[in-house]
Amino acid sequence: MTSSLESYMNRMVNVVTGDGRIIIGLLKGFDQLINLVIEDAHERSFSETEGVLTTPLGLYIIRGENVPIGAFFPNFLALGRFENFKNECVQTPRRPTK
Amino acid sequence: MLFFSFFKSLVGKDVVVELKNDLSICGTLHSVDQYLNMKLTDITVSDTDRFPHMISVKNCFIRGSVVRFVSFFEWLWVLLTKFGQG
Repeated sequence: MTSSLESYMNRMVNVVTGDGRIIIGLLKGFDQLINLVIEDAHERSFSETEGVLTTPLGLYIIRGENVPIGAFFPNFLALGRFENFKNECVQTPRRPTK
Repeated sequence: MLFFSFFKSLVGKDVVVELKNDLSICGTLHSVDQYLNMKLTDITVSDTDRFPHMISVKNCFIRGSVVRFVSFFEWLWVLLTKFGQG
């Protein structure tokens, strides 16, 4: 019944932060404020001209108040799907403003 | 505790969660905790033009503090997918 990130531990997660950034990586830890430890983090950004850009970030700790949504998916699925977005993904601001 | 109990009674039902970043997620409520953090399974997102990274996502965890509202009326989801694109 309790909602916990325990089942996402050591799996690839897709974290959408408060300013709209998308950070992909291996979830290595979390606490009750949903502060997250992400190993081998990458920022994934969508560009109209260059398709999907992936920027390596290294080990990241994301403060809980900045995490709107932690989404989980198998990595291979995401990679396969996201590569197909090159021509379809347009009009997505890299960092949407409020 | 009242709202926590209420959401516990919604577990297993289809709900629409709108986040403060205007992202609306429809899915089956899997679990909820005391902060009203929620886990949804089998999710779909209406505005995939703005949120293309959510298309391949099937399960998600949502921090309670970022939820604007939760609806469990399916007709609202129909409205969102029909008219929420613009």
